[in-house]
Amino acid sequence: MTGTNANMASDPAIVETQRPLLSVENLRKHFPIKGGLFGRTQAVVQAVDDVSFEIRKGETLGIVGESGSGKSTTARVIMHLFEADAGKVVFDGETVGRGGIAYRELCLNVQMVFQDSYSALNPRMPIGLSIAFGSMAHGVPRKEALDKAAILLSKVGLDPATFANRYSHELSGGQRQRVNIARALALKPRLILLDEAVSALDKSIEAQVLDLLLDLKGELDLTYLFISHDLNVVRYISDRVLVMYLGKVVEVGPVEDVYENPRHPYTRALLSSMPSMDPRNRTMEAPLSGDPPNPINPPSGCRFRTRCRFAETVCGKSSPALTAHSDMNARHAVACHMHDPGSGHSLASQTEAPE
Amino acid sequence: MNREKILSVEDLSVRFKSDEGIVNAVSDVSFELAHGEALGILGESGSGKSVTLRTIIGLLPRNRTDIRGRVRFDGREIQDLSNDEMNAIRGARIAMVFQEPMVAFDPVFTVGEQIAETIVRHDGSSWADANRRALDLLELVQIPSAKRRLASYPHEMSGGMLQRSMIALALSCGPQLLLADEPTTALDVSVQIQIILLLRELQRELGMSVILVTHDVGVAAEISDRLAVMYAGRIVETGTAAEMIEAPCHPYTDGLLSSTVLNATKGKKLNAIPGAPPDLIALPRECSFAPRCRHVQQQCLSGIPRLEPFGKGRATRCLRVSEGQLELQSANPAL
Repeated sequence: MTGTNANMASDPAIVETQRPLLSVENLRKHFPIKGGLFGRTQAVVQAVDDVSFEIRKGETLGIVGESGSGKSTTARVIMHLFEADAGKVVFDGETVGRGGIAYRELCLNVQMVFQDSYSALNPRMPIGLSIAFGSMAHGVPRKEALDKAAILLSKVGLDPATFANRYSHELSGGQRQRVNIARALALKPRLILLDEAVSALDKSIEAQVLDLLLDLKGELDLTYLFISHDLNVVRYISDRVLVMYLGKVVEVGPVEDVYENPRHPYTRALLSSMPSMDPRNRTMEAPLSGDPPNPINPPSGCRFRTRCRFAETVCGKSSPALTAHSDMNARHAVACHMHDPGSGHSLASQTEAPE
Repeated sequence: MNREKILSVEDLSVRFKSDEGIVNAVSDVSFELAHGEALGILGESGSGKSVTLRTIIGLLPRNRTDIRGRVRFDGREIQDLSNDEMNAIRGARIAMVFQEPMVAFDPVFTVGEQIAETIVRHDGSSWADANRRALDLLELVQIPSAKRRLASYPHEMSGGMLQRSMIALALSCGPQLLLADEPTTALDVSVQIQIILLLRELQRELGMSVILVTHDVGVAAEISDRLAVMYAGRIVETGTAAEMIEAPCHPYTDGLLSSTVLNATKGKKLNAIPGAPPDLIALPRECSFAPRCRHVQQQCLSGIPRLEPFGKGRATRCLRVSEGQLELQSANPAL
């Protein structure tokens, strides 16, 4: 089952004719920081700024980026946990919000799994009821919802007879995350947003949960948005990957393309920051210096220019657009002046020429 | 390799009293550390790696912990020292870097004050001298505009900068042994690699011995000369980092290496180790990895296997490997 799905997602001919399951257009979310005597806005955190992307049916889109890059905010804005300042979210052809499908209906189709498995569950509710709660809120009778919860528990590898009446503190981290996944499945969603869903788990447990996610995807025809700071995990699970930096998308493309042939200087630096697994061939130089800058008052123009070796005057003047250039795979796009022949960057023509 | 040992740990067992029973956090741990050597302790949560570190530096509450065995640091038995004697060693000759610098620093004092205080306390120097040393230290750990940063409070600094300050604080009295407990876990990858390189450079320059505790094979491989893998409170395998990653000699290490997504082909299922680590309150009286082991046989259930030498400088706590019945092959593509 998993195999056929993966094939469908990676075959461009099939994918191009499909309507995307979710598309996000020019999404913006800024958080004002208020302070002073009259609570005036003193600064603005530009958490997500002009972000657009699509998720196709049956694919897994990975989002990577450092802390403060806006990956979690993006997921939360899609889920309407934050109201977007601008832009729109279109689910299966229908705009979410005014004039389109209601938030309640979105919930039936899109569910989310959070990083902290403990705080995501109500500590005073047995986990069987936690899983059934969503269905009950949508009008399913209690008995039926609980029966379904038991089925879901066994689907995620937990014996319902043992676990349904336990409380979340009685479970290990891996078990709790399985419960969160079961709860996300309760409303039969088509899209699941996984926000650092395996990051808090030990490696051997992480592998188990990733296996579970792959099984469920094939079995239930799911589509995933997989957010993680772990570049190896994203490579393993995703079909396409989106790289974010300070609230902007800097590169997007098929995962192997981006990992094997990264175009944006940030993506390159991020990928070569991963520790080498070979003690005889260690990393000798850090690809990036300093911490990611603060999303409050980000740099003008290209936001990466303050840490970029190739930055020139043009990078401070205008913000590069996310574009697929002629020498790249059509589904691979990058936002960098170096790759845009008309930008005026001194390296622009060189990088554009085929090697 | 006839280097003198700075630290030797012998048959260390640490048990805590809890409401549910006795927690066997560390059992029969023995290892040695040479001057200038970097040892990585690799393990998952609950494997006893942090407790081992805290025992060495004497941070466990004595009245609620049952510590057996011997820890010998630079010729002195740590467990026989009085509180005052231990206070003189802790922070000065053995220093520690913690996972969360935000929690480890006191929020109401500046970073400079906290570093200088340690120097005044241990070296008895004047505050003026200590402040000068603090500035040198911040420059040593490559903090930009160090002078201004001395007067910063912890909340004014980023995670990476705070972890650098934490390392400066640990180095303030020129320790012979640096203990680092998951020092890069809370950091972004781009900052993580900077801290790894800094630690490696400082260790070489200052000739310190380092014990690094981590759950991340990659981080351990970047820093350590030797690795010890812990599972359920016991060391299950030791050896040089290169040898172990190339060809592990315990099924747990093998499972850990081959269940990392690095080795996996896309869309194919991972070779995950089934099950979960045992309950430390009720440890089995057999190989504690046996319930999850793919290679388990009747003989594995007959008792707790000992850490047996396996080739030069290596050891394994697997009966079948040490008796030559089982050969493990790592599929690490990075090699």
